[in-house]
Amino acid sequence: MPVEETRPPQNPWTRKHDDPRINLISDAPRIVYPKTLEEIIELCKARPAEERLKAAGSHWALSDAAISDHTFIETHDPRQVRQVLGRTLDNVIPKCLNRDFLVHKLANERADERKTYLVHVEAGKRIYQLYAELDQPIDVDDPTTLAGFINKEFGNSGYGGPWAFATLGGAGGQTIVGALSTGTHGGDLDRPPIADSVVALHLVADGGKHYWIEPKDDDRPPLTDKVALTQAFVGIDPKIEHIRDTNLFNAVLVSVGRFGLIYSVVLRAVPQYALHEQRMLDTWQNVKSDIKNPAGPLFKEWHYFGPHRSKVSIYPTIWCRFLQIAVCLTPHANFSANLVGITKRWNVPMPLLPPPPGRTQRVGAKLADKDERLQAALFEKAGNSHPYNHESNEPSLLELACADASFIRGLLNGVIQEVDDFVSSGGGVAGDGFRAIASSGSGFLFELAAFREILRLLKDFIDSFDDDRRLGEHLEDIKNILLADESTRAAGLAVWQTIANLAFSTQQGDLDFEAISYAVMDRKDYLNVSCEANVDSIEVFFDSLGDDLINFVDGLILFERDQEFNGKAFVGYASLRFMGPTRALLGMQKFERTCSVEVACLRDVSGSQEMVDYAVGLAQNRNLKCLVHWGQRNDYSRNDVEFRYGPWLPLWREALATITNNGRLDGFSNAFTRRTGLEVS
Amino acid sequence: MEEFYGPWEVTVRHVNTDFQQRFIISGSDSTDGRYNLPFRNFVKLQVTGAAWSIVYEFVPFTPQPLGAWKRRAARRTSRFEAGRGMLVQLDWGDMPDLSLTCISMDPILNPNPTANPYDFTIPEHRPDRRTW
Repeated sequence: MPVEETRPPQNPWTRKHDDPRINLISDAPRIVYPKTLEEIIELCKARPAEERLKAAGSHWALSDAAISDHTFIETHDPRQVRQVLGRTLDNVIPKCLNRDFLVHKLANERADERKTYLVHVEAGKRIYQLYAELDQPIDVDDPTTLAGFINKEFGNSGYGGPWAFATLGGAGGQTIVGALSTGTHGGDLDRPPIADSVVALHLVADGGKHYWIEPKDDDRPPLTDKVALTQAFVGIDPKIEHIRDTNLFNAVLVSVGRFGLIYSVVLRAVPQYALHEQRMLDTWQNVKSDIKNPAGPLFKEWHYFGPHRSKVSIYPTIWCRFLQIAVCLTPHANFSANLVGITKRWNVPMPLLPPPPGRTQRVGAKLADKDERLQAALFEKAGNSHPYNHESNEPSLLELACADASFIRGLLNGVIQEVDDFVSSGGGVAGDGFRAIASSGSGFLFELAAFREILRLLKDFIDSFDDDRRLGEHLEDIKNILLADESTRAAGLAVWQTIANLAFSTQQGDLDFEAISYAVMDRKDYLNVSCEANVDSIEVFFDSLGDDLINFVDGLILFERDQEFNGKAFVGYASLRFMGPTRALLGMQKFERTCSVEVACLRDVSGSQEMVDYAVGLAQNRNLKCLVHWGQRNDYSRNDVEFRYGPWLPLWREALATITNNGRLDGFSNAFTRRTGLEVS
Repeated sequence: MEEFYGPWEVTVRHVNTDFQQRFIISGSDSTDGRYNLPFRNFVKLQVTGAAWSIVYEFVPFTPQPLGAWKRRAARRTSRFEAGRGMLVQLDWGDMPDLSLTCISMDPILNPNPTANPYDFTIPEHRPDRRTW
């Protein structure tokens, strides 16, 4: 049966975060929706020479990595109509596992916390789907499961789960392979990115050859038995090639689809766990020097003590496993300070009484054992819920902002009230929000007339509010009212800074709660997309112990300050997260402890794109030692990649040459890989 | 050897010893060479080039062999400063003591900032206790 496909006319292709008014590609030459390994192999075998291929996952990437020269291979239909390449497979795990591997595994995993589980999944399964599946108990009497196989063969019933990802990014909507093959990561200090949870992968290359690839790790026996694996794929032409090669494995792991289509991966999971999350506000200027001190207070749990919440530790130190620093690039305190929201997490025991907080809200009940489109179980809430809110089932204020423009109206009314109080009292009274953006003096008293005018304009704006516009469009309108007119710009900028800092404080203010792992880590609102549209974003990776990380953020702060003087403003966030090193040759996590800085903006607001463009230019300056995310805005040239990935790129190219017949099989090359030099030479 | 990319202004500070010392620039467009640093001397250079480097050499009081130049590694720190952009400071502490300040002339690293035209100050009156 030929693979399902669509062709022009009216065959658009676009990415999740693009402007929804415009399809990135109005008429893609061909889009295919393979359902099986055999269909993928046939696509690669029968490819006409001039019709190159590229796999796409969730369309989450902001870079051009997934844009094909000709044919798009969808592993997860973005329109949620066609069958997904989303099965959890059982033809390799456990049947083809090498017995020596299992003996070694069980001998090394006697303690419960050291146990790990293996799961084999197709490329198009979304992360939230897999964490929902991993969180289900496994029947240890069913020998077709790994847990049941271990119980039957070794008398060990301790692998029934539930299980979890070792680390996760802040969202679970990407496909597994799409996320890992671009270097997606979490913020767990000493854990590598998601790609490093992969222990084997099944690659289909141009020409139709397919490969089972494992690393040749010296500390354990081979994962699979070659004979058994070959038998598992008997009947598929050509025969699968079984390769144990560390360099090849490390090359394919993060390869932006250049090697071919990664059809499936075997992932290592860990025992399910709960997390405690704390968050507090501070300023960048206070905390930045602590970032280079891994033994310092930034990396430890806080203990609140006393009415003024002084940070004093009277308990044994608990080291965080996760640290995130969200930076408000809009200044306050008379342009001298920038708010940060500091989020810390650490492991806590799973609650004794089920269900643990967050499971019902983020996964929910299993509605079906097998959904025909997903080719997997259907869960009520997985990918279908607001972020977990420990206080109620209601969405947070920012979620409301994205879902309902009345939040903007409410926010504006609050700020208007504060400024009105100040103006009405002749400068005698001011709310905390308005006061926080200034320092002590009398400068604002000279702007009372301008504030009065700004208030009038804002009140008129609220009266004619259009609820159907996107959040970014509302903010652009507000910004223009406040900043466009030079004669009232001082007052307008003060109000803008008040709004921005209030919104940031609301979103990043104090928090203290515990929940199941994925409910804490996955903060994506799957029920609202208006804040995702027309977004641009870059993520830059630094050595957390070097100066360049601090310099980069300081550079962004100075840029924003400067553009606000000139009537522009950034709407978005800059967020720092920390992680361990990766084995992937082209992974961005190259340092003992890497810190990533993500700068994301709503393009609807002028000044936002300028900030991201500036961040791109800064990240590409060779005086800063850093690497840019493959799946976000990435303007690297070949020269840039050769400079940045100096020792690793030749090894990656060597691996690519072996799979592509020294570059002759170029079916998965695209404009992005050619621009960035991710080719054989 | 300390590497730099693009245009930088290199200024020598704290030449406060009688040691024979110098820095050597190589790989630049037009400022390659050895720059001696006599006591209390002041040096300011505009260095350009796609990729260039600085090394520091001095002659110790007890050289082996006599008169031989010896290289020392620098302690490199950097920061962004309002109004000056990105600065790199190279320090060779202890004896002899030398410090170089390198200011980037690249408009990305050293944008021409607008002076702050605003005075965001507010009187210290009785604050309304409305909180966020």
